[in-house]
Amino acid sequence: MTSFLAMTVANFKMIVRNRTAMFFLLGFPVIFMVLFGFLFGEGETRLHIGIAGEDSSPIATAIAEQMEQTDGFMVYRNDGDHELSAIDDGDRLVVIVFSDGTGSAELDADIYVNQSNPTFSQIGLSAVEQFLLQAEMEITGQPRMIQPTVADVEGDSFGFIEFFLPGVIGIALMTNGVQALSSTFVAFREKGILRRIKGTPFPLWQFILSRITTQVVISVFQIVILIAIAIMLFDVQISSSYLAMAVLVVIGAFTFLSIGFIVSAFAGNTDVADAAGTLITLPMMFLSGVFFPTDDAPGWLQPIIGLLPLTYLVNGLRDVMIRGAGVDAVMLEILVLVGTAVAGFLISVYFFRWESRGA
Amino acid sequence: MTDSIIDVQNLTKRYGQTMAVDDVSLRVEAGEIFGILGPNGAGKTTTLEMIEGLRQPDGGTITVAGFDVVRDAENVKRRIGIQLQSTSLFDHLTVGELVSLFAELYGADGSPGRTQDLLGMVSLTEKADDHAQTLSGGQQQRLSIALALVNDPEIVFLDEPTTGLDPQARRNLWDLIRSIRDQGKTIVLTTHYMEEAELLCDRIAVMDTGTIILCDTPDNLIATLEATGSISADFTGVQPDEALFAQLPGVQNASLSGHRLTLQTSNLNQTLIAFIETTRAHRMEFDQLITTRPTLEDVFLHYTGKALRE
Repeated sequence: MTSFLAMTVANFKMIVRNRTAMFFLLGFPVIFMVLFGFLFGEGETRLHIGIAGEDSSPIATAIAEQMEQTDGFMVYRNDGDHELSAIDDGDRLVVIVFSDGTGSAELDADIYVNQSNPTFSQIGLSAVEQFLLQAEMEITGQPRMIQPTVADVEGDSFGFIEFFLPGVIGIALMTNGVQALSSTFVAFREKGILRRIKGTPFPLWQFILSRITTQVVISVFQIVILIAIAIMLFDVQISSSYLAMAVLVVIGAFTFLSIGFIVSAFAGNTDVADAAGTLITLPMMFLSGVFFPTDDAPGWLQPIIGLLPLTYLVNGLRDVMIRGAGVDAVMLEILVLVGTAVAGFLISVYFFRWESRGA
Repeated sequence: MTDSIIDVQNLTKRYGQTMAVDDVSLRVEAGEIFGILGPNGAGKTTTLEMIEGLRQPDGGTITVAGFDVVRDAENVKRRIGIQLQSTSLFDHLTVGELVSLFAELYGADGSPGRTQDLLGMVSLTEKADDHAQTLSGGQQQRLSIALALVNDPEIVFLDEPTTGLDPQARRNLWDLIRSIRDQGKTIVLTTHYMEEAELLCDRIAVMDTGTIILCDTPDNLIATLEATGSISADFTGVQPDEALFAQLPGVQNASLSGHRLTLQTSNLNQTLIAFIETTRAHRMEFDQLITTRPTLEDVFLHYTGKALRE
């Protein structure tokens, strides 16, 4: 046990003292998120409101115009179908659809609320109701001419950052697992360190488990930092059970470590390992819906997307973090990830080599 | 049974078509410095790594400190210390941390006190906080010897410990190896330096193309060629006649370079007497008379028909 502890402490020292590794582990994902967050995440503090059917009444038009000039609302004025599909896609928090009331003096308003983030939608709904009440008084001088009907919509999440954060976490777990692990491990073999370890009574499985432990702890630490920055800078709302999130993060870490071990088993030297790592991670980064949803991707690409472990990790994380789903709701994702991890470890144990070819 | 601390019988290892190690048997006695001498590719490292339990033999038996290496690798590993040929170590760890880590991996004492003792033994005390990559070649070798000592082993295996070192560093390392032996440990090392084998080792196995040709003390090995040697002298007066000297008893070859005559002989004493008599009879004057006895180099040349160094 003390051998294992000593090896793990040494592993931590090696990673923390390696500035390049630290940059790729911590700096890179953070920079990535902050950069994309500011580029695409503009106006996150405003509530995205869609208004449709404003032609049905001059009052509706007046309300729409007044709302547009109000700080805190980002107003979209379109037809009903467009706005309702926008709320499904997570681009609107609330959509108001005006229509002629049954009585001539009355104005009906169907208010749709995106429930993907319960806290956020509560704030949005009460802000909109408050506004309608006040605007109606000012315009007509009469209260309660508008008859609002509230309906919940199970739309996608609404902010870019909320969409992007699970993706960044996925990328971090993937690079940490596939690239960081394989290039370190292949270097250990290349330099004869594995053989030197073989000469000690310290068992190989403990040596590997120690490395895995270190990498998983570093990954968790990295993700805590990412989430903290996302909350502080972009006011991200996380509606998840943290348990479900932790389960996915740890399983995801193991999945990508197992892929890293496969790369280590086959790569003859560090150059090959780095190239193979990039070849595996780069397409996955773009095909797994990290930056944009893959629903619109061409049909022939869908089966490939469905084969990528990162797709399942990112989807699972999104369900859990943004839509507040529990572990039971992401069982499919968990099973796929666990299956990949088990298969990966079996393959890498079978093809494990103590030393570089030709040595 | 035998009292030998290492007993290797009929060891073989095949790589594809090549017999890397071909029916090697040897015994190492406790407390000696045992050298395996041979050119690159002779099978020294493969033999050593099979004895250390790092490589699976294709045939034969190896007993180390009473344990079978193949069946009982765990017990063997705890009793031996190893230094591999050109292993680099973990980056980003200091010399002291490496020694402490390896001690822990052996389940041995990795405390700062013990680490200091080990570093003191290899004269690296003041380097304890430096990173291993910053050490010189000689210092790195001394560090890897310290790592071979962390578990207070009975036997220490050193694979070409002095290769690539300058003469000064090499001599320092010899002193270190002798001091480890003086602590009662057995040392097995490989080398392709004749001088090292001759000056450092108590016994030597001469290895070539996977087989052990000879195994004995350096003196006994040289004694097998005792009679052979060479005589050379600078002639100060008349130019000597090579043909005259080539006829002397025992002479295999006579050569003249300027005023310097060199005779290769299969019988040093006989040729030397004849040489003196001949120069007197012909009133030839010379100085700087040098006679050389054979070295391990000659032994190797004699038995393998090729020079040790390429």
